[in-house]
Formats: sequence, C-alpha cells, structure tokens
Amino acid sequence: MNRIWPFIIGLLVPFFAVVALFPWYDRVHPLVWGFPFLFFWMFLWFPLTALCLLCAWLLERRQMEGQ
Amino acid sequence: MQMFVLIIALLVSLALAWMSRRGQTQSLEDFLVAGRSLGTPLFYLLAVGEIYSIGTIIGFPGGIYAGGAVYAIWFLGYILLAYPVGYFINPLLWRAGKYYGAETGPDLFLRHFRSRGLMLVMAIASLIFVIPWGQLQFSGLEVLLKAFAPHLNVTLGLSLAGILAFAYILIAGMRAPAMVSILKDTLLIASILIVGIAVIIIAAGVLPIVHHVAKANPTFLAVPKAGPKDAMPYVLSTIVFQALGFYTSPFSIQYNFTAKSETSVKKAQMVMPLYMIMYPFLIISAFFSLAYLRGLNKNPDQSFIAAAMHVLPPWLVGLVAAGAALSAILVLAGVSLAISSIAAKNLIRGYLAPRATDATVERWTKVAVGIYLLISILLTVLTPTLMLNLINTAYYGFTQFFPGLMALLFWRKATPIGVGAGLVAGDLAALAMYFAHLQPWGLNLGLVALVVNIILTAGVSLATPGERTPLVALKAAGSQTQAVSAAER
Repeated sequence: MNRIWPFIIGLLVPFFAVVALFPWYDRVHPLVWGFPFLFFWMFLWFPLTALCLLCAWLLERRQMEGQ
Repeated sequence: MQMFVLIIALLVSLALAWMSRRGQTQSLEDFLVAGRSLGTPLFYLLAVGEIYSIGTIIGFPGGIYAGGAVYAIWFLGYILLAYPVGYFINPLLWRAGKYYGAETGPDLFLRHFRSRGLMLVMAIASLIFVIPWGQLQFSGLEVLLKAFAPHLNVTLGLSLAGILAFAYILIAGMRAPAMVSILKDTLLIASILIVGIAVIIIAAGVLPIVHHVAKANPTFLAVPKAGPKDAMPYVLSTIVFQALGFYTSPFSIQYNFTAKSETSVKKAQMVMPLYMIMYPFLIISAFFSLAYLRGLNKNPDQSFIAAAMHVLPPWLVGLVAAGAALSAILVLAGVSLAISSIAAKNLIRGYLAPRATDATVERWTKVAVGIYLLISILLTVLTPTLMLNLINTAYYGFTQFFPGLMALLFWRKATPIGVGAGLVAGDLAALAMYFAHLQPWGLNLGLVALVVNIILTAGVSLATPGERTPLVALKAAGSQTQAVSAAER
C-alpha cells in the first residue's frame, strides 16, 4: 500500500491539476500579475510539480531505509 | 555587429566542445553515451540543453502569435507533465540500458526480446521520425538567417549550421553537447529574460500588453471550450500524448543512458520543472509582438526575433541570436549522434553488413548523418511549416515507442511479434491520418494511433507464445553485458 503513495503524489497529482482541472482553470479572469488565469495556473504548477516530485523522492527514500 | 557577436559565440562553443575531450577514453561507449559517467549536474545540463531547443525560443512564441492560448497551453502542459513521467520511467530505462549494455533504443529491444527483426523495425521508425525534429531546428535557423543575413543563400547557411553540428560530435561525441550546453543555456535564459523584461518595461507592465491582445485577438487569451472552435479535446489529448512520448524519442533514450546512476537520473528529473520558470517571459514577448507588431502573419515564427530587434540594441540582439542558433546546432549535434549510433550499430552492423570493418561502418555512419541533415534542410526550404506543428509531427512517431518500452519494463507476456506489430500499426495509422488530414473526434491523431498500437501490442502478444522476464522482475543486480556481447559474436 505504501509503495503507491510516491506514485500518486509524484504523477497523479500533477496530471490531475493540469488535465482533469482544465475545464475549471481555462478562463481569462481573474488576471494574476496581468496574466490570464489559465497561464497563471500553468506557471503555478512549475514549482508545485517540482515539489510533488520532491515529496515522492523523500517518501521513496524513507521506504528504502525502512526495509 | 549582430553577426560579429554571433560568430564569436559560435567559436567559443567550438572551444568548449574541444575542452570536453578531457577525461575521454577511446571506447564506443564513451563516444555514444559519455561512458555512462555523467553525474547529476552535467547530466542535467545535457538533458535541459537538448530539451530547450530553438523550438522553445523561436517556435513557441511563433505558435502563440499564430494561435494564442491553444498553442501555448498544449506546449507548456506536455513539457511540464513529461517530467513526472520521466521521474518514474527514466530510472527504469537507465537500469535496462545498463543491464543490457545498450547504447540505443533498438539495442534494448534486440537484447530483451532477442529479435533482430524488432530491432530493425525500431531502428527504421527512429530514423524516419527524427526528420521532423531536424526540420524544426533548421526552420528556426532559417528564421534567424532571414532576419540577420537576408543576402545569404538559405540552403548554404543551413548547411554551414549542419556542418558545425557534425563538427561537435566528431570532436568529442556525446560529451560535446553536454559541455556546450553550459554556454547555450546561459545565453538562452539570458536572452529570454532580457527580451521579456525589456518588453514589460517598454509597454509599462504586463497588463497593458494583455489588454491590447484582448482587444485585437479576443479568443487568444484562453482555449475555446465550445462552439466551432472548441479546442479542448485537442489540447488535452496532445498534452497527454506528448508527455508520454517525451522520453521515448530515439535521442532521449540515448541521453538518459549518459547518467552515472539511477539516482542521478531521479535527482535531475526532480529539478526539471523549475527550469520552466523562464516561460512567462517568453509568453509576454510573444504577446508583445501580437499586440504591437503587426504583419508577421506570413511568418509568425519571426515574432520573438522581431520583438528582440524592436526593443534591444544590435549587439544584444546578436547575443539573443547566438543563444537561439546554438540551441538549434546543439540539438542537431545530439540528434545526429543518436542517428549515427542507430545507423552504425543497429542498421549496418546489426543487419545489413554484420561483418563490416570498423572503418567501413564509420564511413557509412557519416554518410547516414549527412543524408539525414540534407533531407531535413531540403524539407525546411521546400515545405515551410509553422515550427510548433513540426513538434507535433515528430511526436506522432516518438510516442509509438512507449508501449514497447513499457512491455520491456513491466510485461512478462510481451512478444517481439506483438511489440513489432503494435509499433508498425501505430506508425502507419499515424502517417495515414496525417497525410489524409484526419483528426478523429478533434483529438490529437497520434493518441488515436497509440490506442491502435497498444491494442495490437497486447492482442498479438497474447496470441503468440513466449515469455521473458520484464526488467522490474530481474533480481540479479549484475550486468548481463558480457554474456550478451559474447553471444552476439
């Protein structure tokens, strides 16, 4: 069961945010820093995807040490 | 002045390629995959160096100029999601490369499935679908040539760039692109930041630019979700399809093998998304052209250079051009190397002339690269295409390698006939739909072809006998390389 978590956080979460939520975030308003909202949402997920992968990495490391 | 700066930068890049020879040995493994010795920093540089090609700095703003948010969002989305996919599959592909002593994608298939036929199919498909990738690089160079050296014959200019790319790999194999990446990425990032910040200052903020675009092209700021222009199925299917194929292109498979360990691969993969922070600056430059520089509709790919020339002094424009040109030449070098290894090892040694001498193989390999560069140049000159569309075309083929590679990693029952049938059917389906201009259900046609591919790979594999241990089930940590190469002799 534990082995599935890195996969969920590292892969499924970014896919969900970019693909599944598309109908919701595909809008011009509100503008953020002058950019249409859908652009801002994409920009937001650059660091957030890196963060998801970092979490996956830490989880995997903990599992390896636990074994 | 612009040309002067550009030429200086190209000379410095050659010097860097020369420096990268240090520590090199004479082995083929060193030449093709840098001896599987690159630690995280250099491996990361090679990877991003090859990812952010001229398609990013010239093609991406061009796509926005021509199509607005539709192009911007699929492009950003597929690159972003490719990184999580790569985080999970690249370490496994690296392990497979190490285990089988593979330097190319077809090597993996040959040694895992023990089928020369499958290797041949994979090699030919690889060679066909890297052509649009070459054309993408040359199209970007053509934009630069037309802007800076309008009197120079385009075919001649592109040929010179091709020769330079070839020179890098003759000097130091795969180590050269890794080293030259340092210069190229510094210039590329600096260019994007400088142009982006300059247009924001000149337009007095992001908001005025966006308002201008909203007035001139109201549909360009978001993806139309309904009506005749509904692009949602296309955008989402393209994102998913190309994210899957990002790391299964013939050259990406090979770059992945240059890493020192699975850990280096994973660490580099984790940091990848952060590199995308330059995109807002690129997008705002494209919006700036869209808002204030009319009349690029005949060649939208000129939009970034046009913005740069509009806001920067000539010597800085020269630096921007150098960054863009280097990014194209560097990618051409990496792709040429991948092609030469597939041609040499898999096509000539592996199939056409197993007993040929090293000198003969080397000669024919150079001929193969020459033919590749020539075809790409001719297609660029004869069939001008929006650059981002070339990315689509290349991926129609790249992603078709995905099911076979997954079978190799995970599926015990996959057979060479099954994987081969799936690959051939997927490629043919994609090509047929591409030339017939079909876009089923508004989806990316490559995704439809991928479904055909997966169904055939699974169905034919189940119908044919034979099992082999998938990579993830291999317990033995050691390398099979010795045994395999002994058996091949």
